[in-house]
Amino acid sequence: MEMDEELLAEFLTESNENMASIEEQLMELEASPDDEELVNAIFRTIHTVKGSCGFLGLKGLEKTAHAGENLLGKIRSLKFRVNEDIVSLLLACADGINEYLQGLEESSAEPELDHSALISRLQAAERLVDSMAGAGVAAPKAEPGRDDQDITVADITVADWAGDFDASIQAALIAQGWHTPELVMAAGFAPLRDLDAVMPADALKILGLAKKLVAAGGVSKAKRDAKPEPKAVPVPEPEIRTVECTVEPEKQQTPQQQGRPVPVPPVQGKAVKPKSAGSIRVDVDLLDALMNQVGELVLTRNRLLQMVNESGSMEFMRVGREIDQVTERLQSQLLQTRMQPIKTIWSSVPRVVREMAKSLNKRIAVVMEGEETELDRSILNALKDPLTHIIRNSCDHGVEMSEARRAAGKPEQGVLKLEAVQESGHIVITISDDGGGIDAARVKAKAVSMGVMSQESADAMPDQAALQLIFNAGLSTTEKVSHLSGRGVGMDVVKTSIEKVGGSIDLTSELGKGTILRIRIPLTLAIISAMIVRCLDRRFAIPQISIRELLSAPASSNDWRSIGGQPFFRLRGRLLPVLELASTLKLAEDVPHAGSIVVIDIGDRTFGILIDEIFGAEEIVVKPLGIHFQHLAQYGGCSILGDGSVIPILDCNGLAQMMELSEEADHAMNIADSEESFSLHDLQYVLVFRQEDHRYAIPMALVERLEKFPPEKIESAGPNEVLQYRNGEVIPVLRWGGLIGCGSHPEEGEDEVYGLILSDGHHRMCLQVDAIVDILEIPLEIKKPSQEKYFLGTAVILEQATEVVDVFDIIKQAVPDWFNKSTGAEEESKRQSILFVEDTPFFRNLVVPVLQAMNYEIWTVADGREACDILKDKTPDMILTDIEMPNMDGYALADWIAGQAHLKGVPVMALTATPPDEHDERRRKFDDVLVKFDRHSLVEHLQRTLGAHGSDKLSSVDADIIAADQA
Amino acid sequence: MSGLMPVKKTQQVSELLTCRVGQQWLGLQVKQVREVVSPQPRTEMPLAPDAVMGLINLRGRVITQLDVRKVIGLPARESESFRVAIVETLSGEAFGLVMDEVGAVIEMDLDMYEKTPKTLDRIWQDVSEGVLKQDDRVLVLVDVERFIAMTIPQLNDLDEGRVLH
Repeated sequence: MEMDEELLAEFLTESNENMASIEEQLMELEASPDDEELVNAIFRTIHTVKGSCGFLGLKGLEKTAHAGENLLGKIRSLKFRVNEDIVSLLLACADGINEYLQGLEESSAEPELDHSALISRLQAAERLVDSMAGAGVAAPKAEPGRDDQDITVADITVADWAGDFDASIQAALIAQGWHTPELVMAAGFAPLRDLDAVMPADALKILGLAKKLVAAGGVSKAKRDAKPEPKAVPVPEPEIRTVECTVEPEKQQTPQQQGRPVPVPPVQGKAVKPKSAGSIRVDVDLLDALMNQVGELVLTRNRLLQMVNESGSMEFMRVGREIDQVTERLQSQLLQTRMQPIKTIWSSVPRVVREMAKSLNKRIAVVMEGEETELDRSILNALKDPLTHIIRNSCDHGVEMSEARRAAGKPEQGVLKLEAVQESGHIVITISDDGGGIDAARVKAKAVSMGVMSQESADAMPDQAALQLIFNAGLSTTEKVSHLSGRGVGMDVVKTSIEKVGGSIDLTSELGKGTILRIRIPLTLAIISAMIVRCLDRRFAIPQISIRELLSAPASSNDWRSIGGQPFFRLRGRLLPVLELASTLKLAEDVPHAGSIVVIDIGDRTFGILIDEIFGAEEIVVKPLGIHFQHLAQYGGCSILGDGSVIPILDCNGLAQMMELSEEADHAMNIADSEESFSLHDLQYVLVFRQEDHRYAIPMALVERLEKFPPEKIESAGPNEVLQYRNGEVIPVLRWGGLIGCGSHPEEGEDEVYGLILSDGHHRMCLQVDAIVDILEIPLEIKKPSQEKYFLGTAVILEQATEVVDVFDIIKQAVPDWFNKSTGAEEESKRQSILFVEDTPFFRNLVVPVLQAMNYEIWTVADGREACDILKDKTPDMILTDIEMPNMDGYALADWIAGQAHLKGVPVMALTATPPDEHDERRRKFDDVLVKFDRHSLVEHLQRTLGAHGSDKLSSVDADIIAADQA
Repeated sequence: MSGLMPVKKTQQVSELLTCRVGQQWLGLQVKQVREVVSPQPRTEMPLAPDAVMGLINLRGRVITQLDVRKVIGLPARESESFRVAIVETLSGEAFGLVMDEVGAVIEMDLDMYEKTPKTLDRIWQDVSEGVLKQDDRVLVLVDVERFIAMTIPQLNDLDEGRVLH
């Protein structure tokens, strides 16, 4: 049947609008079943749909809506408190109606749908409401004289008549509300069979039994008594009529309003949304086409402005400015027409969560903030699926079961929170739950077991970085794959689809507290802000959203590193891997490390793109690239600049994929990471000395002791000078003044000179200086690196620019073969790390230089608790701990370590002034117990323990890094 | 330029645009050619397939320009005096085909097509619908869709352009 198109369109718009809120309302009703106004509103919505159906001849839809309306009518009139099952049923009814609406929208004809099962369930529920109300609400109001007849359905239990069936079947019947044979009959065969607990054969039997009972009138007798509607309760139908009736008089009273199509019904509630009179419907395709045109206009404007500026004519410039402003406004207003509140995709969230929660047997509340935040519709569309996936994930894996939550001292009901805010051209959507959080250790373990990364890199990886691994393809931490979410694919798809629309996603999680996902997306896709850069003679655009900062990286910079063939740039103590754009794009080979670096941050990865020059930021219109470029992940599209030339837009995600770090380089980054993590503990002992009127600093790492002796003790031995040291040892002497070519001015009245005895345990030498100024524990940060021999660079020490001495250069000068004999072993053990737990600075000062001299990487903490914090993330090669400490002593720490799977096999040594008695059981908590002050045995033990250990740890580290560490 | 007589419009007639690349004359279906333009400033795209000369901006539309000489394996052109035939495929994407010379639009009878002779370069066997023998030349009727498809990198080439460190 041909329908009036106009009318149908009107009906669809209105119904869709009304139905959009109904889910939400139904769930609200579930939460507050006593809200009569809410029932009214829902009732009216369905009623309106049904009413219009008759007019349009939509028979099927009318039936479905009618069944829903009747049930709602009963609920309303009997003030029935709805339960979860009824709400589910009403939601199903709303789904059914939506299904019709969707079909109508697609084909302009009523789709053929079979909702008979749904309708009979609705009818059954209606009867149930009736009977239950008869028993509950209505009973007290009933006439006393009717008492004898008042046997209600509620009194009939499933067990009364279906007791022979399995308990599970009975339970299923109860769950459906089919307490009586009549209700079962009414429900019919199909829904009965569809119950999970009921086999088709059982369904037939139940139905047969019900039929027999109904025919015999046995159990049903009671029902007949209860069926008549209690008179004390208002009947639903008349009330509807009053709604319709009141329309008429109103029309007559206000003749000037007669032109209006439908007067607003006199509703008491909020159900009817005021519709803005001035709105029209516009085809989305038309808007898209308009958007394209405006895009072109923006480009033409850019070109025009360039020409106008070149012309230098004031007249032109004024006109140009006006065109500029009009274009700007046109563009932003057109963008607005495509904007939709994020509510349009969030509205389904409560429903999804409700269903997830129900099937998972969890309790989860949804909180939404910023629903009105608007986004371009194409982005909204792209966001819909990822969002649903994330929400399913949070419900499934995030929020714990009620018991677990109770045990953890949290409220039983979990909270899933969605927030959207606008932040300078971007929308940030945060999805957080207060669930169990993600265990970084498990993610790492999984990544290792799946070969995504080595155990070593996993250990060195900070937890936050490890969490981002879940965006890796094939990584899903739940061991159990549920039907609701997670099949190993998932978060990677989420990430890809978000990145496809120019967005980014990252995740933070705290074990036991919950997980937060942050999605950052541009307001619109068509126009983006991009940085225009030059690489050789070409220009490229880099989307601003991926850019974190810009660095100048001249060739002379001391921050360049090269590890395993991969260039790095040292940025705030971290090694930033650098992608040479010229070589990545095969524009040139052997790219000089000079120019500018654009630091890219794409969620889990940070890297730099080396380019030659940065021109500046520009708003550009993104245009797709043709089919010849589809395989090139390096490009995200192209655009046209003000001068009319085409410029490629780089895709930073694609570029990141191009940069596959070698294992060595990867490792170097991890080392750099750990350096940063421990920067707080990364204090160095520095000795400041004076020569003439200059101050110099030397790291204490190799300074064994300070000697003061008369100048004549230095003897000549051929061309060199030597000093008779203790035990008759003769060690070479270098005069600092002589090395750097300046004089010597000993302190007034001093007839002795100072000597720094440098030693690594094998060799010794003496560096003679004028005077010692101080020994300090400071973060030694070289501000101005030096190329000069004997100097590392300049640092600010005691508020004075102080030149830092390169010990290695001095040693090389004095003992040329110093490094030759032991290099192999030294290099090998270089990167082995020791966690040193010691509360007194005095002992720390005593031991740390020894350890440093042995080239171990030292992390120092002040007590057991701090140690635990670090050990949660890091696995050192050895743990060296004091026993007596505040907060958490050495025994407790050893116990804690024993319980940590990832620390298995890490030797724990106690270093104490008062070792426990030989027979003390607690001694066994440690692999070894050493006595403080005994430098010799400490060195020996360390070499024995770690020598056996970590020779596989690291094969080679660039000399640059070693040098940098010494700095 | 040619002594060709226009064919009578008795039967199915098609219009062809004649173009020359090297020594070879080609015929493009006029209905597939949008226009012919002179060289435009172009942006070369690193890592792009060989055939791609770059991107041009044709009145705000970004068009991939393909070098026909490259595709058929001729040595590179020495001068920048070429012509670009803008063609549009069924997918709606436009391409610029770079020709050494563009001739004229001729009308021809579909009956006059001949099978592409085996003696002709292999590439033309792949992309032509047939040939049209004229007095002094053989005009290869180029199937634009097939020609462009040939210039698109195949799946097995996809890893090209990936830089491994």
